[in-house]
Parts: sequence; C-alpha cells; structure tokens
Amino acid sequence: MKNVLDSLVKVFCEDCQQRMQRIVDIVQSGMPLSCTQLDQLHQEFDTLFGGARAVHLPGMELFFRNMAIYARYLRNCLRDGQTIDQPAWQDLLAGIAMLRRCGDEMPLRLEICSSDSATLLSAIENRINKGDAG
Amino acid sequence: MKILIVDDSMTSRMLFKVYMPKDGQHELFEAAVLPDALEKMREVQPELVILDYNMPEHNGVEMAQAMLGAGFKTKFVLLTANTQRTVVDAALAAGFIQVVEKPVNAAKIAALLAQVA
Repeated sequence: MKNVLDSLVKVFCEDCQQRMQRIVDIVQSGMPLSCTQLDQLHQEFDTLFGGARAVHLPGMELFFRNMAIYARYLRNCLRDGQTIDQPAWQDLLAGIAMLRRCGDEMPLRLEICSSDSATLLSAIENRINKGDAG
Repeated sequence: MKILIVDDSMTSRMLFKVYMPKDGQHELFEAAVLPDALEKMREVQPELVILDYNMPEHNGVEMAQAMLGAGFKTKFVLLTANTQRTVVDAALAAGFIQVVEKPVNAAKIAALLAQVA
C-alpha cells in the first residue's frame, strides 16, 4: 500500500509543478486579473485540492482548497461589479509566492511547512467571511 | 470492458490505473483533453467513458455532448468533487448513468463496475 501511495504522490508532484507553472503564467500576464483568469486559477487550485486529498496530504489539501475558494470569491466580486483593492490581490499573490518559494520541493515542502500558510489562510478566510474585497 | 478515463489531472487518472481491478476483464485508456478523447473514442470504441467535470476547456458534461454529437454511443459516468444538485442534474439530463464523487478508491471503482456490468 505504501508503494501505491508513493507512486501517487510522485505523479501528484509532477502534476503540481505543471499546474504551478500555469498559475504563475496567469498571474504574470498582468494584474488585475479578469474573471476568466480567476476562473482558470480556480480550476487549477481546485484540481490540486482534489489531488492532495487523493494522496493524503492534508496541509496541501487545506491550502489549495482555500486558494480555490478565494479565486472563486474574487471572481464573483468582480462579476458583481465590486472593485477589488490592492490588499485583496496581495493575499492571492502571497499564496502563489508561497508556492513558488517551495520550488521543486513543492508539494512536499509545503506539506511540511503547512503551519507557515496558516496566517495567510486565516487572512483570506476573514476577508471572505466579511465579504471584503475592497 | 474497454474504459476511457478523461481527466486533465494526471493524479486522478493514476488513481484509476492503481485501483482498477487487475482481473484481466477491463482495459483502461486515458485522455486529458477533448481532441485526444475523441481520437481515443475512434480508436478503441470504449463501452464506458468516465469524464471529470471540472476541466479547463470543456467540462465533463460538455465533453459527453460533443462525443454524442460526433455519433459515439457509449455509457457515460461523471467524476466530480462537486456533487451540487445542479451539477448532478445536468449530468443526468445529459444521459450520464452515474455520478461518482472524487477521489476514487478501489471500493468506488468496484461498485461502479458492478453497476455498469
């Protein structure tokens, strides 16, 4: 069973690297992001969330789930005509920067350092709960 | 039974490969995007197509509609982490025989195959 899980984690790591590159490409195409770009980010984070859950990496699962929810939240705010302020964009960028810092060791390094992401995730959750994007 | 799994997540496709019963009764094929899926449909004529819902270009329901539109007759199963009623209803209305919640495991795959057989 451990061999099976090891194989799955290896595939997930490869998947993570490819999706991370796509996430970076979306963000580097310029801020602020459009609804379509936020949908793309949501799709990438949501798929990574599902993968992390499948390979039993709970820290990553929580991180990607929250990033997916946040991308969808910002998309909905934009769609509803709300202005998204700089700190709200910064939270999204901070999450992506955190992933980039993990580099080639992502996702396992992020799993180990999942406590580092707690502050950011908490800020994002507060923002969503307050309905605050601007 | 020939089964085609269409999912842009390589982790998800790997789960099927790992957990599919190794009884020699099932042959698994995979695709990540619609053009590859259509090509595999033509090549292998699968009896069952398992489609992920959340994919970048087309969702699973749209893909099934494209396959039906191209004249393929097969059974469709939707794979999703999003079991919202609207998604399930859209899948059933489009002719999907079942919706399976992600992530899959050996038990879910065995139950699905038993139902489809």
